[in-house]
Amino acid sequence: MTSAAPQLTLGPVLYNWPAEKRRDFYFRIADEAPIDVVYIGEITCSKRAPFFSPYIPEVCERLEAAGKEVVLSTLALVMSRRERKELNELASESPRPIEANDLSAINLLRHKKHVIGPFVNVYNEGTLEHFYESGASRVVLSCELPSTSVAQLGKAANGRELEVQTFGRLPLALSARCYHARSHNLTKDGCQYVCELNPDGMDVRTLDGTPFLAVNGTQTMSYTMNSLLGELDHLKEVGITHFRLWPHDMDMVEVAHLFRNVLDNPEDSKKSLGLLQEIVTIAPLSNGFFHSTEGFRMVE
Amino acid sequence: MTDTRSAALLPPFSPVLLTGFAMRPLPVKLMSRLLTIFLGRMERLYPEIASRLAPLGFCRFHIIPTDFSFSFLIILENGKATAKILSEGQAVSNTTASISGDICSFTKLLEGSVDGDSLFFTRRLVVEGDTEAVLTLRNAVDSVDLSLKHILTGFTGPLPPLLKKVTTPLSSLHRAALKDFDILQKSLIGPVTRRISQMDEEISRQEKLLIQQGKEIRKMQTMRKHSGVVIGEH
Amino acid sequence: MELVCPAGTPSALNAALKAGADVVYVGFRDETNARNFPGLNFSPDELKVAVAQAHSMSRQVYVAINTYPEAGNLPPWHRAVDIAADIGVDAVIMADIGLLDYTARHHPQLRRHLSVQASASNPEAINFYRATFDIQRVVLPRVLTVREIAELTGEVEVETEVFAFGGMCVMAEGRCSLSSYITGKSPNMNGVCSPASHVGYEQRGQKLVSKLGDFTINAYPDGEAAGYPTLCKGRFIGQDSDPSYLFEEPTSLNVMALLPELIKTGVKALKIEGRQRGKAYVAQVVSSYRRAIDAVLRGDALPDSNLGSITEGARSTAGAYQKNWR
Repeated sequence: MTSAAPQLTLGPVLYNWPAEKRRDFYFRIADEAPIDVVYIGEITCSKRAPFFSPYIPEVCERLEAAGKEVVLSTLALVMSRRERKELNELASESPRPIEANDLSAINLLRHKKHVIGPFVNVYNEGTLEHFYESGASRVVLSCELPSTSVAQLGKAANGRELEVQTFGRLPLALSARCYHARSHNLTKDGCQYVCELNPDGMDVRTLDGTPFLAVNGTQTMSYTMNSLLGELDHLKEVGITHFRLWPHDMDMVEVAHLFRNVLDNPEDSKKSLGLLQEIVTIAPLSNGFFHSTEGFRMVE
Repeated sequence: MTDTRSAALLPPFSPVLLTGFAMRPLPVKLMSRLLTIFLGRMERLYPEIASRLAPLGFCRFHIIPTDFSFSFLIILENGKATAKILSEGQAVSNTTASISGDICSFTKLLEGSVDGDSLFFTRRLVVEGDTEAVLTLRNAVDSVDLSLKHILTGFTGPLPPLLKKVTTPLSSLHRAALKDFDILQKSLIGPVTRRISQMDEEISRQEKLLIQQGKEIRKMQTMRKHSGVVIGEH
Repeated sequence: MELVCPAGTPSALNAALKAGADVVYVGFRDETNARNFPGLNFSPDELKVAVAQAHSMSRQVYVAINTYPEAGNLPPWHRAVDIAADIGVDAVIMADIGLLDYTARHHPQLRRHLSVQASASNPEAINFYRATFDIQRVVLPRVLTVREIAELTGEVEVETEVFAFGGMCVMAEGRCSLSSYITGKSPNMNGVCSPASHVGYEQRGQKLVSKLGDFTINAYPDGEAAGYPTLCKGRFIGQDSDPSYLFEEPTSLNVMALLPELIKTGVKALKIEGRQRGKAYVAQVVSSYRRAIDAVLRGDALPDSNLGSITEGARSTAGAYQKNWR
């Protein structure tokens, strides 16, 4: 088991934020947030990527200057020739480590420092071992794993880096179809980038008006906001080394401080959870997956 | 699909058997007994069904043929099925699920000649209650090449007199029924009803006879046992 | 062109063989396969009989062991592979990297197909599985267009198999946790999606309401074709919009009309979905596709087939095979 300090990470922005907003967000993270690792890149929809790309070098430098590790995340569902070409270039030319969110990048990354992202299925020790053996320095676990599986994988990792998603709407599914476009009677090709209208995703309700899911372009998210703030201590104990926050359109610096504080001072978890609930106003918190029940539930 | 084709797809025996069952003159008590025999046969001929149903534990399915004046309550206990006939409007509680539809849909389902999901999608079957239990039932029944004909006639030994009395006259109508079930049903209900009434008396007579025979056999067995001879072993 | 057909029970396997299946694919009666439904699937003894029967007719049996083994509980999956190898099945269909690794090491002679649940949607990913675990075939995700399938088939070193008919995932298969978010049971871990144990139907006035757990998935006015409450195929409300099939309509995939085009792409096999459907479904779909494939291969026109009544919601779509679906 590792004795290194637990690392707080910031996953890539999953939503379609305007490029300048994204840049300013990362500048503030660089300057103010107690975050150790920042993942950057467009993982949801390749159509969005060109807007932020020009800002990436600048943002990376600012983050690295602030002492943060920067990892470039790849697209989660790779299909077209253009997407494959872009991925190939990123994997072979980037000076920075890559988070692979699709197996297509794996072959190219064999001899390069890389992370296996949460969109690659790692459910058991057999698969985990395969990725470590083929050169992954860290593996990020899928959101639906229960605590029993997380503990088994933590044991199998045996001190090697293992990351869990601990805050934010959970990316539950990917599709070739864009639901944001569809909900505006548009197709993916002529989408007019309507996903930009919802910086935390578009809420989806049932016919009774009950909140159900959230849509982020081709991705379907949980409606509830996952929070394992109360479980951080347990996660540390079973061998989790990295703790991921998904960026949201809220005070992420404050969220990061709350998580950092509980990682360092487990006794503060109750109080911090109360504070987190005050910051998160878009939807209730949940931790059901971790507690082997429906993902949308909050188990006290 | 044309009417002729749908008539040709009707499972063997069922229309007429059902016409028979639809007759009010068949007393509920007798129907229940026939049903028990039917289920017993099914269990013997297709033991695999029971093993697939076993995980359900204790379950009560209310099967409601919408074109009948009565319904069935199928009770499953670790894969073993018993059944009751319920008359129209009779209250039934603690059911795991209820399935309603026309009787032809049910018999076709039993024989696997129609897809249950299709019946459901097109609203010919209506399911209420525990959907998982209903699917388990469907999957279990669908797992064998079930034939009503086998259950009713195709077993090796002689038919129990009770069942024979009912199936023989009805089965003779079967071929004709296939030609045009609807017309036939209308024209046949009268005569069949009368015949069933006669059969009813005959069945009661046979039943008494059976009971009497049973008593005699037991008496004989007791006597032989005392004299040291065991029946059936040579 | 191989026609690969589903069987959830021995009787459905008979029906598939009788209707002209070249291959029947099945699963064991447990959480090792992605159709882990009650009352369904094969015991090892039933599989043994099935394989003997298929082989006697010069047909094949594939076994799907395509869920993701649970951490700390690998033996049920390893055992499933061992039994399949022992019985002499013609291929195993799997998705998990750890399990592929186990199979390649312990049963190198057992033919391995990559399940659609592995969501390998491009040549680099597929070639990774080929290079690492020597897979012989990939079942392509239902996210690709016919043109993309043709291109991809030309670029990979393995055979490709595509879905032709049946229930359609609107999400990338094997990468969807919607079911476990709503019900606690997932395709990847439990082999079920929107499980029947959580399904309820209620008649509310003039409407049949379908529910999954506490959530209303759809409401069908009397007379409208109904559907199973698969959670991505319900009517929902997006932001400020009217209720609609936000993700997908309750519909079935049917590529019949694209069959000539699809055969030209060079795919090796066409797959029918539906191990959870009855033998009547299997008989009807398999015989329709058998006739159609034979006709196209002879150069004849597509024969008429009426599969309308057995499709979900009594509707069908060519789905992602056509680009405008996206």
